[in-house]
Amino acid sequence: MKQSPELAQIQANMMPGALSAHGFIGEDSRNLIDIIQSDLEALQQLGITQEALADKMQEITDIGAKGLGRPESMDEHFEIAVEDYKGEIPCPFKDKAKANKRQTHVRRLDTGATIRWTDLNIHMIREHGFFEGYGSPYRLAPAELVKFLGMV
Amino acid sequence: MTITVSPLIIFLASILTSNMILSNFLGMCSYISISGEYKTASSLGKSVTLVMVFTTIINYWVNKLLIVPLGLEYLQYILFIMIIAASVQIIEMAMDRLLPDLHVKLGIFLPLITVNCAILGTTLFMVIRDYSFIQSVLFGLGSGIGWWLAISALAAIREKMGKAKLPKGLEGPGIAFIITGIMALAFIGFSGIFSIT
Amino acid sequence: MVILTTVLSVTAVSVALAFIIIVAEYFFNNYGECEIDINGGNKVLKIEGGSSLLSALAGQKIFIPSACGGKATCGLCKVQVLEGAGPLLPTEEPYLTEDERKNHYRLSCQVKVKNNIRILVPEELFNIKEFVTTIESVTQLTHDIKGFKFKLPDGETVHFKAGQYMQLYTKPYAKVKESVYRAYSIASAPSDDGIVELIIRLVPDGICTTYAHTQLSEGDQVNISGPYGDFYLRGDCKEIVMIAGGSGLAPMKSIILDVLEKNIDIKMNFFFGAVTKKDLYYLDFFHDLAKRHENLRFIPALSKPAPEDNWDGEVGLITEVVDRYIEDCSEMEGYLCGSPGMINACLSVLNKKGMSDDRIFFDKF
Repeated sequence: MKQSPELAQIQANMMPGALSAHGFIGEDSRNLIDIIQSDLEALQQLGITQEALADKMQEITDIGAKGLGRPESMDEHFEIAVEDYKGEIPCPFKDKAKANKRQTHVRRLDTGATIRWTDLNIHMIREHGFFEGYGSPYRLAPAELVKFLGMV
Repeated sequence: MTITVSPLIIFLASILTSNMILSNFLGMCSYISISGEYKTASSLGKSVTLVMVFTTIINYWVNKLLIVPLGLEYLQYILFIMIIAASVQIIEMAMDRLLPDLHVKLGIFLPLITVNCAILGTTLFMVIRDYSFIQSVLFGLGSGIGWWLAISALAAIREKMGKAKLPKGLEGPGIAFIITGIMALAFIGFSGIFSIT
Repeated sequence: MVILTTVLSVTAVSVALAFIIIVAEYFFNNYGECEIDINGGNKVLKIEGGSSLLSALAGQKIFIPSACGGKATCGLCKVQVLEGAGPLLPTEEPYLTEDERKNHYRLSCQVKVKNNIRILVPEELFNIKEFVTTIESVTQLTHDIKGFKFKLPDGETVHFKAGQYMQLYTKPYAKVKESVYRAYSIASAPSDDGIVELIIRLVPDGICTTYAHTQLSEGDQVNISGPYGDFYLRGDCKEIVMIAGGSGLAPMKSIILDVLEKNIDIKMNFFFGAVTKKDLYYLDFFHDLAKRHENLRFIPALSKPAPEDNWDGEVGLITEVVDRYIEDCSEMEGYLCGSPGMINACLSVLNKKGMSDDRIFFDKF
């Protein structure tokens, strides 16, 4: 589907080397608007809203952040290690938002499965419904993420 | 076949009764995808009007001085498209230099408009109906304003409907087409006033 | 015959259109020579119009701070443009307050120089220079931190205050097609003539840190510019608390060496925190300095030492350790360098122990 010039500019911001080394689109050849639509549809089918998902991720990150890098545990379900770096990364959506360069590594204590997200991931999911394109190193598939967090 | 219709009638008809979108269904692609937000849609409409007027004028002269005398009517489609593409480039450069304020507001839409089939459509209608220069200018202006009117109306309706609960399959393009169809039905009501087709 | 006419006419029209576009471009995009008047006639530059104010100035060796390389995402390149800037662009709007707009501040990376322009530039920015350096050494300090020593060209020095930072410029590599620049605090002392040391921690997916870690080795040529920044020793107090984590050790090293060399009468408490021993570095260096100088106290701390670390130093979050060692710091100044999370946590603990916010300093990048 055609997208407005603003979205086209934002997609250009997401290419490797514009804001991050690998960019946010990965190998995905679709237009940004289609990527967002398809992921939001998947999320809708699971019955979870963007905000609820982002809130849960933020809750986990906040608990982990208290450790300043040291692993913290939550609810006997998760082990959380938050790695923080100097600097800020601006949101590619040109909404003036900036995120800390913080990585939240979460491990499920029952299955040993791990997942990782950045502060920017949380912001982009909450405000823009953007989970990053296929092949991007920081892509979070909505179904996987929701199941991992035990929200369904 | 020359139609001796008053240019004013052509102008009004191209906005209401012979609307590019609602009567001729031209330029639907960007119309459907960029009608989500009123401000963006209105800016796009203004840019389309600007490009339509310029390209209609340029194509009128190219047709009159080059294509018809040399008997190249069979190449009209190709030549018009090339001229439209080049004109948009030049319009963008000129706007950036001479009217920077306007360029900031409308400039980003110009590349999108090059492939808008309503632009080529306006030129071809002008040629088929054999309009004079004044008729062509007013036809181009009216078609642009009509396109602008249609996309602004759709965007306004979609924004107003923002909170409404729609069946999942109809969200986005689905409901846009239904709204457009209803608007087109409404505009048919104008057809008794004056007609140019 | 028809085929020939077709081909000829289409070709002729294409050529004519291309020609018209070239002429139009020459006509419209050629802005001719423009004059940039700086600080009321103090400096007048004559340049080819058409580029952004930021790059035009950089081309004339005047470096305006920028962290995003002209993409209108950092808001650092603000300059007062008194005349000649054209209308305010939507890309600038989010970064300029009402006050700033009234005072004619603009983002220099977005303002295009199309005609004569009058600007105001703070004096200290004229001290900033560009250097073409050669890498003298690359040291692996920890698993994700490297120390780089850059040799300056003969006869050149960077006149900086300990604590300031330099901008490092990358070259295109892998999928990154453009040059970018990012800020890194200087770790060497101001007295270290001829070399500049930077400590760079690899940020996952970071453009510049990945470049530094994967592309740079001894002998490579690297462009840096500087010095920039408001982070340096104020020297108004007799005792200071310094807290660092990760690559944040860099400006602290510079300040500590500077204070010790100049025999400045200030007592320094330097806290350096990490999770396990593999994230600490320069331990022997600072332990040694602390042994030889009474006015330096060095307290490294681990929040979760691994058994193989055999750690006998302080254990706990860096904030807990600071809490233990500092009773009342209302008469001290605080210097922080590290991740935003660490800085926020330290701000709380220092406030709790009596230090007011106006005495706490940290780099905001």
